[in-house]
Amino acid sequence: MNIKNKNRDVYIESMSACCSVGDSSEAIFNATLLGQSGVKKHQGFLNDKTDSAIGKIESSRSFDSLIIESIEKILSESNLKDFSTTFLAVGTSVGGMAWAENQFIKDGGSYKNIKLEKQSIHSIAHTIKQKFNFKDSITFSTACTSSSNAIIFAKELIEVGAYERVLVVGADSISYTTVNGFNALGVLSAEIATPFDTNRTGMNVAEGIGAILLSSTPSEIKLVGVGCSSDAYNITNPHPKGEGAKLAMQNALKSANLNPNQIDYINAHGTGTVANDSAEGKAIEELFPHNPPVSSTKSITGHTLGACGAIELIISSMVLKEQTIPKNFNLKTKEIESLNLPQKSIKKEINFVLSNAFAFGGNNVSLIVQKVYDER
Amino acid sequence: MITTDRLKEILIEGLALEDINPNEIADSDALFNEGLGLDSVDAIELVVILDNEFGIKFKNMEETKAVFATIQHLTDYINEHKK
Amino acid sequence: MKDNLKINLKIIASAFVSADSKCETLDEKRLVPKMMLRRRLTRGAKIAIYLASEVGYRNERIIFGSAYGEVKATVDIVESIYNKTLLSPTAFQNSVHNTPASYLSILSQNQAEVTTVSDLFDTSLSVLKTGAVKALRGDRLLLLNVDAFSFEGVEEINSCEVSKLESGVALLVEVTEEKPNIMIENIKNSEISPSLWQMLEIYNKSKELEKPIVEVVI
Repeated sequence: MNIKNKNRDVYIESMSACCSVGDSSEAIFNATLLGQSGVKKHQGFLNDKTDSAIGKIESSRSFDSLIIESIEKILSESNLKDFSTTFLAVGTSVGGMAWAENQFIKDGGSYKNIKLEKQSIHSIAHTIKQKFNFKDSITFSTACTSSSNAIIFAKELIEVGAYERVLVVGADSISYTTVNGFNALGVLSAEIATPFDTNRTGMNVAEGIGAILLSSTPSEIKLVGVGCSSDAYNITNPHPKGEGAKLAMQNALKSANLNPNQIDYINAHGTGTVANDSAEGKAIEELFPHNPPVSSTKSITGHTLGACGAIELIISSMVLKEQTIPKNFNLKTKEIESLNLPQKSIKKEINFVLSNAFAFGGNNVSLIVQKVYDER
Repeated sequence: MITTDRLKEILIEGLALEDINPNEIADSDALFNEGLGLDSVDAIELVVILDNEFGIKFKNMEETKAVFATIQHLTDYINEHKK
Repeated sequence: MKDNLKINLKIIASAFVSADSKCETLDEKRLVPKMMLRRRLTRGAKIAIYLASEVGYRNERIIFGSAYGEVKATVDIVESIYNKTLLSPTAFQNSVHNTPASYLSILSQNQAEVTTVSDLFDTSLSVLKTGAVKALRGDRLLLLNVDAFSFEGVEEINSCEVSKLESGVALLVEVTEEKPNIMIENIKNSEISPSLWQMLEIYNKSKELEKPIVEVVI
């Protein structure tokens, strides 16, 4: 066994994102500051033809080509000639289901043309590797924490010296399965979500792509802490007191060697469902008595499912770059009085941002990014 | 017309209840909490079953609360509303 | 050109199960006494719970892998969408890839890290590499790889003509500095899906060794 350079620091070398409000990290971040939501009413997704509010990427280009474009952007902005020494860590919960659904319907309810390389969870990595040569890849699939778990593994790979660079790609496209599925559970809203609001009516399914190149080379943004936990409570609902969420956040703080009062902003998972926001709100309230500003950006981007970990870490990094906290767009009446939920975007000194993602089955991940000042 | 026994069979099969016979369930048994002990996901599953089997539709989950109170309540409702 | 990192994993215990269409010896009534939880378990979940018990799992962190995921739940959903019938919420909540690992963590009240990987025929290697890197922390890990894809219409997609439609391997592992005596040779098994081959190979070779130690190349 030859472990070298244990516990190397991990930085974000570059990032690129695409969702309903824009095809760049900057465009998406600006939308969160200005309160310009990409969530719109659609009639075509639910079986019963009723309205659902969805965050669709309006583009003539296919989802697959948008993934390729996001990665091409990363390559062109880096010093890399190619990805031949880079590891690819994918996070997806839908994989190729959207393609498979359409094929199944086209074939009149037959599985005969369902190719596993195009239907499976692995299909995202498969598509990417047709275009780019990576040293190796692994795909993580844990519902809404898929890309968050990919980020954790990427950090571990760099820390132990297995790789200098890891490209994390979180990608989930809209599918009939997810829209009808969340509707079946009674948590889908026909309006733009209002996370942490007393009168919230549920979540908005959305699609998105988040690509983050992590590396051991110092940069402005350091991935300083990661933490995870399991609720061990219920297959769909989070622990009502947010016990698992609290544990994940505590583990992230421990990993970053930080006290809770050092966190300057929390980008919440904040889906807009009764269960999540209540549990997460309680956990934040208990763990952060110094009341840092908290906001959910899902009322802007929608809930990008497996991609949300990556996309929201990108938003959190933009918060550090721009030293500006996005407001809670659409929030009218706070359910938890004591939570600091700004309704206007705030410019202030921000050094540490914590970003949450919580998933079905009680899978919880918290990530902490730090602004690194030039010490020369 | 369905009997309470038929409803019990539908519940056992549709909700995948194991090791329980219809004769172990009383007509006065509550479906949720005490009684059969079904949960909120079962409530939604039940709405799906009632639509598929009897064409019965509900506007929202609130409407189901009184209907799902006991085996007898639900049997009566089905017989009144099935297509 | 940088050398690949190599990590040696001691195989503390291992287990394997397979069946042409349905594993009959999963002991679910004893392992999951609460009927209301048991009734919702997917085939993958029942296999994972059985395998965990066989290797003496005691709430270790879990790395779970499945090439095809929850096939029956996915099929039920797709059929609902096609026929425009109301979707079963149970089918949806059971359709995510980490369902078996989640049920195992719920059953055992395990609040530790649980992660799921899926890379089609490379799933075994993904589980092993993920587990090996995470094992460097020094604790024991449960590595699981489960495939359960029996459903009406399976012949249409079973292009490898695998005969065991349900199979699973569990390895309880710990990192070690000791020299490895198992090298992965990618031994084939025509009955089992290729996604399980490397972990099955380790299971088979471990049975012949007193202190099985596998080298995982990252």
